[in-house]
Amino acid sequence: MNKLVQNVFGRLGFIILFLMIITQVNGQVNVSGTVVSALDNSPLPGATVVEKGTTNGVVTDIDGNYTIDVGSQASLLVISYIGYLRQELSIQGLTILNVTLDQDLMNMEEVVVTAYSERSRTEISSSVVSLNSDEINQVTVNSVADMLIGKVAGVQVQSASGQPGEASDIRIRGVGSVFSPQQPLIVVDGIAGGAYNPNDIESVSVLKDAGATGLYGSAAAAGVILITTKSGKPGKSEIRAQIKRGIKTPEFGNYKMMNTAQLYAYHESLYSPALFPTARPDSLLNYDYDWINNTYRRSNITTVNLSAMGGTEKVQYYLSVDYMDDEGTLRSTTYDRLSLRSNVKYQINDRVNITTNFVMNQGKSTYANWNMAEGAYRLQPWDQPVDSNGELIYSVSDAGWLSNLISNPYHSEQYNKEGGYNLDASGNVSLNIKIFDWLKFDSWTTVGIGYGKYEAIYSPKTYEGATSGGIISNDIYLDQSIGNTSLLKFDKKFGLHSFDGLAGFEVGSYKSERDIGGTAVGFLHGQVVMGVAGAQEQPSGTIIESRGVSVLSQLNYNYAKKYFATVSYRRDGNSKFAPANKYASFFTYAASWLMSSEDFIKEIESIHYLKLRGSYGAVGNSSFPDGSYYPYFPSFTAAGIYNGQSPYFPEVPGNYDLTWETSNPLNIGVDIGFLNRFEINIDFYDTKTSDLLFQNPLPSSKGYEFQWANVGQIQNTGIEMAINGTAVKTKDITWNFNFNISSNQNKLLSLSDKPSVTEMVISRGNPTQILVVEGGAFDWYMPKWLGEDPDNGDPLWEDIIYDTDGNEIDRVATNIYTDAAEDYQIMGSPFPDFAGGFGTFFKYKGISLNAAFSYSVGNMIYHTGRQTADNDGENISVNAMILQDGWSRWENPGDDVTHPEPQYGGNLNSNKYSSRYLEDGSYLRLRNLTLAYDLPLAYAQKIKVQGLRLTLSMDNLKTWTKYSGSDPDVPLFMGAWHLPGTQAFKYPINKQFLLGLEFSF
Amino acid sequence: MKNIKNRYISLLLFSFLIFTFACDDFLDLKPYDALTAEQLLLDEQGMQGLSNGSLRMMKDLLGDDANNVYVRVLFQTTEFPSDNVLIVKSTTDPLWLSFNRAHILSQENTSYLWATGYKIILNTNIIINNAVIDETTSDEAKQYIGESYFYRGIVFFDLARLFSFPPSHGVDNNGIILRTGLGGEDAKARATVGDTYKQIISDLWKGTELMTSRPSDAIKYGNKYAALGYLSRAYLFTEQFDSVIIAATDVIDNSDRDLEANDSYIHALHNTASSEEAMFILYHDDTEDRGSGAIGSMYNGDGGWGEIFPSKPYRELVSLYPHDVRNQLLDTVFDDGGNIVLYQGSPYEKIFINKFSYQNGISTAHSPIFMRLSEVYLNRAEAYAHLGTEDQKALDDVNAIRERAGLSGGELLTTGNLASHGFANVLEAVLNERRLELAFEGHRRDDLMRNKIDLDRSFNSAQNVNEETDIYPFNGPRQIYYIPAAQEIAYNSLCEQNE
Repeated sequence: MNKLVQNVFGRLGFIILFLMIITQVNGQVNVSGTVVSALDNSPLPGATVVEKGTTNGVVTDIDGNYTIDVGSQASLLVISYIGYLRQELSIQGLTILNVTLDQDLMNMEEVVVTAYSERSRTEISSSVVSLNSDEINQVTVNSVADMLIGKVAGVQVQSASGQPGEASDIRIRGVGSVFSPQQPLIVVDGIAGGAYNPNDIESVSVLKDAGATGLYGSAAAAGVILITTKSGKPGKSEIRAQIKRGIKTPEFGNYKMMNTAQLYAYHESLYSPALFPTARPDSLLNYDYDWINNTYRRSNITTVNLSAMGGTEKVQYYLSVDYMDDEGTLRSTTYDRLSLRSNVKYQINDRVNITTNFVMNQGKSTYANWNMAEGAYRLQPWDQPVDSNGELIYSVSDAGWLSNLISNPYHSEQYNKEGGYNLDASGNVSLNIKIFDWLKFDSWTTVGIGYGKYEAIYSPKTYEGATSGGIISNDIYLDQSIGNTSLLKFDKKFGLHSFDGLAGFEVGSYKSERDIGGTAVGFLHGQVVMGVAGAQEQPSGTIIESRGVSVLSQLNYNYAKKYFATVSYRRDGNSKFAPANKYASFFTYAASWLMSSEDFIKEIESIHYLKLRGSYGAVGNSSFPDGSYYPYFPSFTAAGIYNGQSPYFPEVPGNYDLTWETSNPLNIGVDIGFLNRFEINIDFYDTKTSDLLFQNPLPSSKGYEFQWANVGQIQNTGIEMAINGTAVKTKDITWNFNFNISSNQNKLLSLSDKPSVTEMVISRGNPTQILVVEGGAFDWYMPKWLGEDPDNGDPLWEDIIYDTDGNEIDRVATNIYTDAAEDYQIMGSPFPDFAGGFGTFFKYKGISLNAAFSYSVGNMIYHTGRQTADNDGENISVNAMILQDGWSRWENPGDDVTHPEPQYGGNLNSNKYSSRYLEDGSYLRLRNLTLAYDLPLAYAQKIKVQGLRLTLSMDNLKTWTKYSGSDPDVPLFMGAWHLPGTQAFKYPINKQFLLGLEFSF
Repeated sequence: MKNIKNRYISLLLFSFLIFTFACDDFLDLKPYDALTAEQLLLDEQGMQGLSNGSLRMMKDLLGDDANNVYVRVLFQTTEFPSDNVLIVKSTTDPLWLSFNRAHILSQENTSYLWATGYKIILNTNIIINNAVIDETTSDEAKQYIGESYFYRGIVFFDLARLFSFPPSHGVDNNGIILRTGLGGEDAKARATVGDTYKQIISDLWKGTELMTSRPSDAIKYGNKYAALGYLSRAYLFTEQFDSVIIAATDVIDNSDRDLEANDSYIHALHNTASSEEAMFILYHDDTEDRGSGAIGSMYNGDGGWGEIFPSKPYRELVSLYPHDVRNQLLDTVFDDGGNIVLYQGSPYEKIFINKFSYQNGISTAHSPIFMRLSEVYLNRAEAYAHLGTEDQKALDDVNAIRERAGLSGGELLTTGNLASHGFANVLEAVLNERRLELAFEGHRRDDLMRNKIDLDRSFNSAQNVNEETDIYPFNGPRQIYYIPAAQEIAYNSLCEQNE
């Protein structure tokens, strides 16, 4: 490899040298020398040596030697080399000038992928964070979201449940929308929403501000994540094989349930002494079944990845096969995935090349019986899954279970089946033509398909299926998308003025046939397809479709590589909106000043890089929750049946004025690199989102709960800081660290077209939040818990007393829940005060250690599960949680403790919805720890491999939190079922320990 | 070289051309799974679809909680505050709040019923306000328009029963919001109770006029005699007793409905679609078995939760005559030793109520009855009792029900033997019979409130574990539910909350 580089650069060097000599005028002083690397004193072939302020320059030869004629003794030489810091030296009468270049540890000239193009970091005026695969690929996960946990300031990832194969939720810079929460747009090799496999990722760019995302227009309001997959380079080919194998264990957090002895004692404190012996006979003490540890398990995970990359000057390729077998820690849950990718580039002639990317992912999941995951927490330890003959219990009431679970999940597990299957494929062919040296034409056409099936089979042998003689449901989807993007790109310099940019159009359509299948009943155990069932119970199936057309353009200008400006314009047309509002335009602007190119900054030795950036513009959001594809269209729909006839009922009130939600993000940032070791990026942003796509509430007597309308304004302001540093970098030792922190504040500026409506209450079951104009969006809203009354152990809440005019006159403690329930109060925010991550990388020779942490501070979680598990005796048919450290129950007058007196049937509604169950969700998590060993090349070559790497990676090793639930990492967006900051129950996440072996040939 | 460049440029131009041409209509898409009102009102089939939509909204869940079904909430929120039933333990299901009357301002089940009720009203308004009735209107179209009046009337009635006091407490009290047009302002005040009942009665009358076809399966849809049956109930509320008698007599004399025979009584309550006396049922086919969310599930542990049992006073009442067929609606669970099983460590004896179970033998399948002939008899009986001049006629109607239940001879009532049966007056006898016959169907609370009788729940139930004296005044504020605060009052500034 080295030789090849030397050859290439050497040859190139001679050519350039030759050209330089021709153009050179009247050499007066001849200087020569060698350029070497400070790291190991190895020569640097191909380094450029230029006389400052002129076009006179040469390139070092294969041994790093150069010779140059310069104008005078006072001339300065500028020596530069990719990946190394530029040096300026004065000749001062010397004829031999040897140069030692320091490595550019911060790699400011690195080329990163941005919207529809690539450019070097110094040229970017907006907030873009780029990560290469080494920085994110230590974890073994299924989505880019999980790879980004704690890695990028302002990017928050809420990990999915422990169900293998499930993707996490990702948000950039807070929640910008109320009812149309959107995840960032993920673009894979230019394909919006394209399929990918984490192991194929070469780099990820996170575009955070309008300057960066503007070209994506109406889809960009939530930010954009660009994924670039690997591609081959001309030269030697490489085959790589990676095998990882490991185990996973469930991470239960602080949420622990009682065993028989504990629960028995607890119930004894609830019941009257007269009732207790019959209600809870002491024979129960003979049983102690650990439902949780029998339901959750240690499981295995295996991944195998084979890839080949390489090519010639004409054809370059990257091919990979990836397999993952991921067993869940909950019984019966599994996931396996097979992915293929082929990225090939053909250089047709010196002006035309064609790139093709094809990817195919196949995934298969199985799920646990519906009541298994949570049932393990609800079932009481004296209830046994098997009867005295060792047979799994069928009828839990006949078996005399005291727990309130309608069926025995282990019995149903034997016969029921629930699972999913999906096949996603996409391909694109990209044509790139160099029309003139300054003008290129790029066009890529994409076809994507997605097929998936979810099936649930409730066998007639189980409680779930028995009454219907077996239930089978299928839910199949088939997605098709096609698109074309065609761009003209130009790049032209006029002296110190450089212009580049692009203009073109994009057209796409998406059609999804979904929910195909339905429910059928009546079949014998063992049958798995709907066709054999006796009766179709509920057929289902619908189609949603959307189309878009856009023109897009961007102009970039820079003066002397010091002052940069960018203007982007995109006009989008979208089928989701009413005819009059189908089109909208989005402008964005960005500018930056590379101060470190100014002489007055250059004089400051310690600062080697300094850039000020600013951007502003408009981006949009056109997303509605699934199914609401035509919200402007007043319509009726049919569902179900009445006596064999089709019933229609009003569904959507319609709103012909509906249009895009528009965000106006302002971003101001500074990048500082100093001591050639540290880089700090600070960004301040202020994003106003107007015309919120809002479910404008109607009084329910109107017959509709809401109407989609563009009302309301929300503002997100925040500050982000990232620090990256290289503490040590020598030939043998590398020590890097990184740290990021972000803080986001959201504020509701207006809420409704009715000025009188200044607040809105949103509930999902019990949990309730309020949106208040001039207040935070989504604040917790509930009766305020005041603890227990030391005198009698009653629960206490705050009752606000008003006079007849509605003015507050007093606040008193009450033990009557309904009094407090009339006085809901704002009790904090589900969003963190600040959050982020940090990590470090240490390498000594072939041994390296990488650690990554993520954290969140100040977010309040409503622990819904505790209303049941910590209920003071209100529900004695479920298991109870073990009290956390520092918690205790009232027993005697004078006890000033955390919990009211437990009583049979509950203590005055003490477990009703209140701030009693609102907890601080702050946490710190050791997200990943990876230990790696690279076999020295000499040894590797002895066993005929190019490289051999052993790794031990450990995910989710430890979480520090006071939150009493199983995982403080809860969703922070609103869904149909939940509010930000709630988690009713979560299949616990896992610790993973994986041993990896990687060869390359 | 130049040629090649020209070729690229023409390629470019070509693709821009395609782009501009493709844009026409390209963005104009319509939903695949919905229709407009215009499309639906075009013909009888569409009107039938819309009319059925009202029933479907009563029957199926619209939200995400399987327990939130209009008919389930209706039967539970009307019955559970009464003295017929007990509950063995508290539950997170808001049905518990009907037992302990700890209503909250935005209660999930009543909010659902309110919202769904008005969704049905919106649906009926679309037909009523768009339909033109003239000489060209077919009978079939008239039927669907009539059904819509009928469904609107009964939903207004349901809402009035739950959210306002009966007219006998004062016609100027707050009734419900009468949305009868299309569109209109978001803010609208509640009508008075008097106007509310006028609207109900007017809608029901309109229904009787228009509903003349739907020949088969009539009881599964709105029909003339069901509307008259509801009128006999509505006039009882408005204390227009003569009108009760006229409407009820019309039904009893002229409809094809008869009291179910004694030996088929239980079967007919289970299989309401084939019942002789059912006048309007909400039909569920056997696959529409609501499982643990069925109305019967809370009552019947065979296939359901089985956590709500008959109260002690009701058991005493019905077991007075062991041969009374209505005893068979209670299934007592015995253990092997012949003792009554207690519910999981509680003092409550397991006695399941099967009135809402066993359609075609399936434990949780059922098609709830909204109106049946027995009620019409008893509506008329109550009207006679109130008139005070027709005591024997009142007792005749009561005896029709008692005879069918299997009582005879001295077990039947005469003005002479009332006292020996423990009744102070005819009305007491009528209310007693209504309680027995219509138990668990949501009438008891109304019967007492309407007649200004306090409710005595001094029996053991999870809301009264110590069996303390529990008398709730007939006009106590928590006889009725709060108007859903978060769903209605928050966005309707003119709507007043209940006390």
